[in-house]
Amino acid sequence: MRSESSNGKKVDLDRFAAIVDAYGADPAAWPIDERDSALALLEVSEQAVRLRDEAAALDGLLGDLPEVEPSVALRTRILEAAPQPARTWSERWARIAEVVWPFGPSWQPVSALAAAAVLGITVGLVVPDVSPVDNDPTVVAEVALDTGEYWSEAP
Amino acid sequence: MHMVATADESSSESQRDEEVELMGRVAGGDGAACRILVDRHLRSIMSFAYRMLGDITEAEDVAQETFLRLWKTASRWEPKAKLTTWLYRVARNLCVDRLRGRRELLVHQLPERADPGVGASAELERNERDHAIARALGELGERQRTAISLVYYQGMSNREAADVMEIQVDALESLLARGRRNLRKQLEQAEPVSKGSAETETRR
Repeated sequence: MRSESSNGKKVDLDRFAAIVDAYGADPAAWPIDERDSALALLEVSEQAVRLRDEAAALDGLLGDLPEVEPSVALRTRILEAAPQPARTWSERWARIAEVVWPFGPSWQPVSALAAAAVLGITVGLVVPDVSPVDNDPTVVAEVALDTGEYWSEAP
Repeated sequence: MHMVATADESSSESQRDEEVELMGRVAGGDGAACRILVDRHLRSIMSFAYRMLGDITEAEDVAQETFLRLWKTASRWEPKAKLTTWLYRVARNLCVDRLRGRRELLVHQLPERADPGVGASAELERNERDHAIARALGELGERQRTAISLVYYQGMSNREAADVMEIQVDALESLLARGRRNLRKQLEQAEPVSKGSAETETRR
């Protein structure tokens, strides 16, 4: 994580004390621009060594705390919630068909509907058409009235 | 020196380019890009949330919510900040929301250690120490705890941590120093922190 460039600030003993007070004894945690100078001071100053060792004692305790690992279930939940790729038209239709007919492959209801349509059309074509004249109420009335009974002239 | 800085800027620029490209793929529903981001950041975000909240279940909720917000943002992602900085800012805000209303932080859960080589009494002693450290962290103020979690546990540089907290580096340093002093005080009450011991220098 720590990967910055150094541009070398001068570090005296006071600043060294402040650095280990804040960042601890590990040089990797020290400010990058002061690290080289702080390490150089450590080479020549017993007081700096003592300050570093005091900080190391606390670091040792803090570093002892066990790490936590994310569970597989957590990872799965996160990935399941990730954005999904955009669907093609055929995938969208398949999805709609799945919602409309969740009981099995969508060809089953589609075939049933097609068969019903074919049957309907066939019946419509085969059965003879009934003439509309036969059932016309006007014609029936005319026939009933045209017996000559009421319209014959008086003898 | 100038060349080093230029190389650093160029590396940072290429990192942002890669993040923009990844986020574009995420927005398009590329599962592989989502997995890359989860593999890269989930553990550290979860770990940060745990240090902040002291509760594994709550830390998982925060980590999940952080990623859900990332997915929602993917289609309009702009590289104003590094992706890591953005993730930690969101996670921190979520933690702060959860911490509001709590009068004190009690650490109920600590992850199990898998170390069969340790005897029962040593195990007990270590558990007590773990709890003391977790309790001491929990008793820090939110800002001090955030600063220590980011720099010490997440290994961020001072500039990155200051960016996440949206403060100056000087202010971060002050929070770190006060936080460490408070931790030392808390831990000395539980167990004296030996002065001058260099044996425990190994971190993380």
